Amino acid sequence: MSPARHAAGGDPDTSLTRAVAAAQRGDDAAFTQVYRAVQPGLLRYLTVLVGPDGEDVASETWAQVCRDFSGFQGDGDGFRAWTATIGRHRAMDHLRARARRPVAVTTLDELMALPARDDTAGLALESLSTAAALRLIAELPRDQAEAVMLRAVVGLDANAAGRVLGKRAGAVRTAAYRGLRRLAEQGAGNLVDRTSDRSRPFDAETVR
Amino acid sequence: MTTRQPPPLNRANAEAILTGTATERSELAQIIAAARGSATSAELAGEAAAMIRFQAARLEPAAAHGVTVRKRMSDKLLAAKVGIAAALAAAATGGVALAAAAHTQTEPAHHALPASTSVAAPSHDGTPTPRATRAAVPPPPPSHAAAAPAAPTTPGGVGSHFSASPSPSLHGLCIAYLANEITGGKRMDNPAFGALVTAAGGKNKITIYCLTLLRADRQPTRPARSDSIGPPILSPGHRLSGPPDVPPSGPEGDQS
Repeated sequence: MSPARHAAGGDPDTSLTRAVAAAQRGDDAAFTQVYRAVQPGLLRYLTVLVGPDGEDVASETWAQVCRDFSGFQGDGDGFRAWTATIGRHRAMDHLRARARRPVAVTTLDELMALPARDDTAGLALESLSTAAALRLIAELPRDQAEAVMLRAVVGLDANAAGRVLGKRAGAVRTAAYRGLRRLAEQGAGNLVDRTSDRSRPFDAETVR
Repeated sequence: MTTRQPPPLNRANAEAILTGTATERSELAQIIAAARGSATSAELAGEAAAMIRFQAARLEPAAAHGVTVRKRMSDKLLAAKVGIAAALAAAATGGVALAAAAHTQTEPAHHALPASTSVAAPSHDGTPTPRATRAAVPPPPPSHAAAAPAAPTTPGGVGSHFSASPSPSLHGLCIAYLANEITGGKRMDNPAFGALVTAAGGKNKITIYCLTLLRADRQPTRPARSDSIGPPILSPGHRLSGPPDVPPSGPEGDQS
């Protein structure tokens, strides 16, 4: 199933709403359902933000989510936004901490075990991997990348994404739109054509 | 390449692309579709660890009281868990290993917890493993600090509490195994886990087996099921060191 609610057909968020409520009552199976529905999109969002450390940040995020779970109030959409908000804060903490110490720049390629460039160039676009797509998005300016990820991959609407980002919905729409435009301009052609430049996640210096 | 001439992007089809409802097959739409592709098992690798935290938070809401559980705490927890694994490796047998683990893990990260029993372990991020090893633990007292020394459990008397459980050694092994899973250790390297493989019916069934085992053992030991989610996790003492950055009611309060 897609990590984004939109792509799965039907209305998975109804089931997520139920699962969140059941998990808050202590239902382990429901928590598993919640985790599987939320984690992939969350992890991808965090990976675009922090790169290879996305898994660690996701783990921290779930630790906090579990601790505060009983206090959460809202539906499935709200839960996605809540976890994304927590994850974003943990990611920002992580980037600030990383900015204070020297760090070897690791690429998304290494994280996601992407195929080598030569192989990538030979792929048909239909088989464009998730990792490759995330790498393209990660190359966008961060506000655009976040807007695209929250909307398209985490599955939030513009209002909810705006709350995660501390922006108005209109600003999110604009950022996502600009991100899409840039992706369309340099996207897949760039992916296939370039041979040398390496993408990398956002550097700490982009964090304010 | 299937399409070299994507349709012009406008606000309307941008929204459709973002929400996955676009019917076009432009490169852009395919990039977004790929970004939203099916989840991989690697992406869900943290599920067992998340489940442990979930169960721990449910079992031990008091753990969130007055404990500054911030991100650095997870490091301490992991250190403690590594201690468990080390104890297991040294003792090599379940029962002994559990006793050793119990002693080992009370040390590293236990400063702020309501140490209700001698087996109580450093569940700063709420790992349930230690809690699951004991039985007849009274509900957390209102005042953790004052009540801590009054713990009724006999020190070291781990095995005696497992009357309703299959085997103390399996409990110990499960605890060590799950702890090791959290740390991402090479859990199968230790031959002591062979008994777990046998009991679980296969290496890939150990996590489920252990979670089930520990949960089953836990049920009769808890005073009341409803207590598990009773006390609010967000207690006044939870974030005394700073303003809450994320309100549990949702993201509306996010300021960043």
